[in-house]
Amino acid sequence: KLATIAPEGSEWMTEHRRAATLIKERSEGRVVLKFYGGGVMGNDKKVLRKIRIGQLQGAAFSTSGLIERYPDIVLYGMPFVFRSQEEVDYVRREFDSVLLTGLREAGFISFGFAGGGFANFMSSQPVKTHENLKGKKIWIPAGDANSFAAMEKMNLSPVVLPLSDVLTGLQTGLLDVIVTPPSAALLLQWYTKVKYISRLPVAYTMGLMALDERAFGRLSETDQGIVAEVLTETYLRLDQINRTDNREARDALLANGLEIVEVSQDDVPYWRSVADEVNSHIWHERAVNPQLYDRLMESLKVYREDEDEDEAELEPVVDAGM
Amino acid sequence: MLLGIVLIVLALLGAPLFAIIAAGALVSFIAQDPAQGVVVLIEIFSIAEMPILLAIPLFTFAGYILSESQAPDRLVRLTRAVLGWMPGGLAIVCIGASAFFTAFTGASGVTIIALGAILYPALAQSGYHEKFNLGLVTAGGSLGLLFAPSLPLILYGVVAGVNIDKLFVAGVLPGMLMLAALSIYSLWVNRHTRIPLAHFSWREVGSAIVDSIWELPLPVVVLGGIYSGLLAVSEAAAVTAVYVVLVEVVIRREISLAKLPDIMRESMVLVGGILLILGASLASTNYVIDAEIPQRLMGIVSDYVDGRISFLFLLLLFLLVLGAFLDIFSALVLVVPLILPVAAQFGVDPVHLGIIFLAAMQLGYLTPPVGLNLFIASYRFDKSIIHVYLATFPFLLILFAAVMVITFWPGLSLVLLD
Amino acid sequence: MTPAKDATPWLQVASKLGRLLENLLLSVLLLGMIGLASTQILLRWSGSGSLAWGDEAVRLAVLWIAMIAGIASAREDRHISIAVLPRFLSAKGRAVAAVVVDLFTVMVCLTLAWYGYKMVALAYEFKDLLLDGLPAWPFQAVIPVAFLVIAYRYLVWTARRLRTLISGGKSG
Ligand code: NA
Ligand code: NA
Repeated sequence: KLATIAPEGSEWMTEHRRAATLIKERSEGRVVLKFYGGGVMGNDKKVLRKIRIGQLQGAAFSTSGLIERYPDIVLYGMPFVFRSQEEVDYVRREFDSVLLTGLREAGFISFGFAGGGFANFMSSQPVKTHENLKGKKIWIPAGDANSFAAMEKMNLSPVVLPLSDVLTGLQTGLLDVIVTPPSAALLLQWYTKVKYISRLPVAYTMGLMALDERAFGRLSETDQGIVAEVLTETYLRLDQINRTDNREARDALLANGLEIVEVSQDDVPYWRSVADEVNSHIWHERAVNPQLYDRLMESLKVYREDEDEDEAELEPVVDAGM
Repeated sequence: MLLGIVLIVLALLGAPLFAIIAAGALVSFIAQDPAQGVVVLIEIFSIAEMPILLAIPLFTFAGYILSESQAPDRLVRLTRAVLGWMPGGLAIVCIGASAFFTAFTGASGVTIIALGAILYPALAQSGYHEKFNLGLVTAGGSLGLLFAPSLPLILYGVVAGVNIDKLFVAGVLPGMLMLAALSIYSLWVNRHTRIPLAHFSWREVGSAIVDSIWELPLPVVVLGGIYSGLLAVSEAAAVTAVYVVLVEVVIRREISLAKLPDIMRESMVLVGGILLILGASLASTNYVIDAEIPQRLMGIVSDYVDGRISFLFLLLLFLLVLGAFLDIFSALVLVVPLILPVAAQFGVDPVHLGIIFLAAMQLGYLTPPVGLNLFIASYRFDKSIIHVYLATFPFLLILFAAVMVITFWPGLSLVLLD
Repeated sequence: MTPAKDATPWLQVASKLGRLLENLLLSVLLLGMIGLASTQILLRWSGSGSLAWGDEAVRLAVLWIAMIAGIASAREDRHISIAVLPRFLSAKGRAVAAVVVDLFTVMVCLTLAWYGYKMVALAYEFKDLLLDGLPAWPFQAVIPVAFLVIAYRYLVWTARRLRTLISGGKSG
C-alpha cells in the first residue's frame, strides 16, 4: 500500500499505476502495489507515521516530505543553489547515488528522483522584489529548515504547512504566496488560487518513491529485482516527462490567465547572499553528512568555471524553470 | 456486520459517540493487524495538524460570550425598532434575530435559551398565540445554520475538504429562502390576529443602533476580513474572539472576569466533544478509504439509482431519517465521507451537497425521537415534548418545503459563487 | 456534577482540585491560543515577520483543548450520545444499560490509551520533532493520558451506578 498526493487521473498517477501493473505481471501476482492517490492518507508526516506502523509500505514524496527522516535529502532543494537545469543535471550524476545510499541507511529504499523543475513564486499580488513579500503569508513546506531560515532572516512571514494542506491554505487565506514549479501548481490545482508567477528560479524540486526497507526486505530477491527495475525505469521516464511537462504546465497556467512577473535583476544578488549564508549554516547544523554541501558547492564551482561565467549569471533568471 | 449491530445498540443505549466511532475503527484496524490500532491514534493526533480547526473553538467561545452578555436583548431591541411596526413584525424579528444569533453560536441550542427567554414573553405580550410562539421560537433555534460563520458549515468544509469561504457564500440564498418562507407563513397565520403594532420611530431606531453599536460590526469583521483577503478563516475567528471579549468584558463589563473561566469551560466542553468525535471519525474514515468502501458503496447505489434526480431523492430521504436520530455534528463526521464520493459520481457539486446536508439536518433539530430543539424548548418553557412537537410541526413542514427547493435547485446555492 | 454525597472528604477535595485544574488548563490554552493567533496577525501586518513556532503551537493547543475538554465532559458524563432506547426501559433496565455503556466506554478508552502510548513511544524512538526542534512526544502524550483519565472517570461512573443499582435492588 503506497500513498501519493497526486490526484487520480493525473499523468503522475497513470505512470505509477502502469508500474504497478508491470510489477504484478512480472512477479506473477506476488507483488501487488496499491496506490492511494489524492493525499487521502494524510500529509507527509502522517504518511511517515503510517509507514512506521505498517499501514502503508511506502509513498511518493516530494523531497521536503522526507527531511524528517533523512535531512540530507534537501541537498538539491536548498534555495538559490542552482541557476539552470544543466547545473542540476551535472551535479546529479555525482550525488544521486550518495542520496539513495543515505536514504537506505534511514530505512527507505528508493529508485531515483524525478526532477520537478524550478519552483517560482506564485502569488495573488505581483512579486518583483523581496520587499513585495513583506507582510505576506508565504508557504514553506513543513520541515524545510533552509527556506524557513532564509525567510526569517529577511523578516518575512513564512507559514509552515505540509504539501497536502496548501490548497486549503490558499482557499482559506492562510497563504498568499507559494513557491512551486508550474507542473505541481497545475497538478495540485494550486494555480486556481494565484494570479502571478515570478520569473525567478527559487529552488529545484524533486519527487521520489520511498519504500519501507522492512517491507521491501520481505520480498524474495527476484521480486526485489523486478520492483527495482520497474520503478527505476519509471522514475527515469518521469524525470524526462517532467521536463516537457513543466514547459507545458507553464503554458497552461498562462492560458488560464496567470501573468508572468519579471523579477528585478538588482534584487537577485540579495536573494543569493541571504540564501548562501543560511544554506551553509543550516546544512552544517542539521545534516547527517556535513561535507556533502561543501562537495556540492565545489562541484558547482568546477562546472561554472568551465562554462561561460557571464552567461551563467544572467541566463537562469530569464529562463530556468520557466 | 455483527460489530455494526452491537455498536448501534450501544449507541442507542447512550454510549458516548466518540467511543462508538473509535471502537469501530479500532476493531477494524486491529482485525487487519494488531499493530495497526495505532492508526486510530495517528488520526486523532491529526486534530493538531488541521489549521482550520482553530476556527471552531474561537468562534464557539465568542458565541458563548455573546449569549452570556446582554447582546441578545440589544439585538432584539434593534430588530424590533426596525421591523416592529409591520403586521407580524415581531415574528419576523424573532426569525431574523434567531438566524443572526445561531450563525454566531453554532446551533448548539444556545439560541433558544438566550433569545427564547426574551422573545417568547415578548411575543405573548404582543398577543400572538401561545402555540405559534412556541413553534416559532423552537424552529428559530436552528435557523441561521446556513449563514457564516456557523460551526456546522465550517465542520462540513473540514470533513469534505471543501473551500470554506465558498460554503459561506453558498449558504446565503438558501438561508434567506428559509427565512423568507417562515416570514411569509408567520404573516399569513397572523393575518386575522389583531396585534397592536409598535410605532415606528426613527428616534428608537437611532437609539437602538447606538445601543448595539459594538455588536453591529461583528458580521463585517468576520465576512469583511475573510473576503477582503486580509484574514484567513481561522484568523477571522481569532479576531472575533478578541473583539467580543473586549466589548463584553472590558468595555461593557457585562461579564465579570470571575465568570470568564466558567464560560471558557462550558464552551470548550462543547468544542472538545465535537473535536473528539471528529478525531475518531477521521480514523473510521481512514479505514473506509483503506478498505476501498466508497467504491463498493458506489456499486450498490448505482444498482438502485439511475440518475442525479433519483439520487437526490434517495439522499434527501436518507438525510431526513438520519436527522431524526443523529445530531448534526455526528451525522456530519460519520456520513459525509461516505456520501461525498458517491454524490460526486452523480454530478452533485460538493458545495451544493454541503448545503443540502445542513439544510436537511436542520430539520432534524425538530424531528423526534432525537430533536435537540424540541428537548431544549420543552425544558426551557416547561411544556411537554408532544406539545412542543405539535406546535413546531407547521414550521417543520414549511422548512421541509424549503429543503426540497434547496435540494433540487442547485443554482440557488451555486449562483453567487461565480 | 458535584462529587457524590457519600464520597470521602479526601475524594471530594481531589475532585474539586481536578475541576480547578481542568478549568485552569482550558482557560490558559484558550487564552494562549487567542493571544498567539492575534500576535501572529499583528506581527505580520507590522511587517516584522512572525513567530516560527506560532502556527504549530496554536494547532497543538486545539488538540490539547479537545483532550482536556474530553476529560471535563467525562466528569459530568456529558459526552455527545444518542440515548434513544433508555426512555423505553424501566428504571432498573436503564441502570443496567448505563453500567454496560460505561464499561464499554472504559474499555474503548483504555484501548485508545494503550495504542496512544505506542504512538508516543514510537515518536520518542524515532526522535520526531515539533515546533522548530522540540521533541514531539511530550506534546502527543496528552492523548494517552487523557484517555486514561477518561477511562478512570467512566470507571467511577460504573461504580457509582452499580452501587445505585444494587441498593435500588434491595429497596425495590
Ligand atoms: Na484557515
Ligand atoms: Na431529530
